Amino acid sequence: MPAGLGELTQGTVPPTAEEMAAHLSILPFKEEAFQSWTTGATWYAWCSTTSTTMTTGDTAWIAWNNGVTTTTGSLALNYTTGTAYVSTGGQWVAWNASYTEMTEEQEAAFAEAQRVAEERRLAQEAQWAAERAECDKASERAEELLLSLLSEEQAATYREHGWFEVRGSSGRRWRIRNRGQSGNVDLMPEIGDVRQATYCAHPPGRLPHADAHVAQMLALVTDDEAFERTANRHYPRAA
Amino acid sequence: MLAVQWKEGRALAFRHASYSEEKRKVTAVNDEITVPEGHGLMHELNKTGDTRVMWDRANSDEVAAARAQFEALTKKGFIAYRAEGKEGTRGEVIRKFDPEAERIILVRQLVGG
Repeated sequence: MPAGLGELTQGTVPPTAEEMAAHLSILPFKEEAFQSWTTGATWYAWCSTTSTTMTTGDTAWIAWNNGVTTTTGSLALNYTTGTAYVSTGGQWVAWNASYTEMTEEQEAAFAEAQRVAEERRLAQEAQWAAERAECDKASERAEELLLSLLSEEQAATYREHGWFEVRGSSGRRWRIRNRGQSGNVDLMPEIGDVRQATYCAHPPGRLPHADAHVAQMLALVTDDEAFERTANRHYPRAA
Repeated sequence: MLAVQWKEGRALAFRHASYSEEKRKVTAVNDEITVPEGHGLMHELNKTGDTRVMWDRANSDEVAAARAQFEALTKKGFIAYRAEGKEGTRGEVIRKFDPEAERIILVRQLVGG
């Protein structure tokens, strides 16, 4: 038994693969498998399911190793409460038996698959970047159109406060907010800043937001009653 | 987001995300689209921002091309608005192509969201 292996206490780092292999004298196992098993979710999942007292990796580890006797091809574990794991070492063997070393061909195929996946990832990222750039360009163009249609005062509030106001065809005061294109049109009182209602109507086709604001503005100034009939009212909600 | 509004000394509190004062950053540098003297400009609003068609009122071919584009889009259900200068608030719906219009904006009919 390697020095100290039997005296592990809570908080001690689990032994290395070599120490374990030397200690248990069992079939050889791959360090990678051992590491992933001890540091990954499997270890902690096992710890949390075997017993309510096994709350940490270390305590489970100690309990599992205590009294281990090595015989050829089998292990006797004296962990007595977790019946699924006791006495035969079958769990240990099963874990390690399921690990098989890759052949050179398999490693090459794996590397190739990784290379293809990486290429696809890069291509996807490039496509997304191009789409984002197009989207930004479209937004800027739409804003240019909107600002070209707004008076100086409207453009100033749009830039500074994120909204502009228009007079509807019926003479009512409307506020179009630069916050998406859904539910962004407020009916405002003649005096004051507390909206009376909020409406949602926008052009279909996923236009840039500023384009939708142009469409909303033109719809309001030409026929705000038709706008009201088309739009869904978001606030206040109908009783 | 909680937005608090004051009215006549009383606080009216709203918890309504769509009423937040959040705003999107406006990135456009230009705020003017210049239409040369004697020309008209048509904007078709679409995913790219807008597609623009300009015509010279004195050039019958250009006018005909713009008219054809106008008619094709209105047949598809686009609504056409005439707009003047920086006063979008003076837009009006037009049913027929007007070569004398300074700017025409075509957009699909709004739908309730």
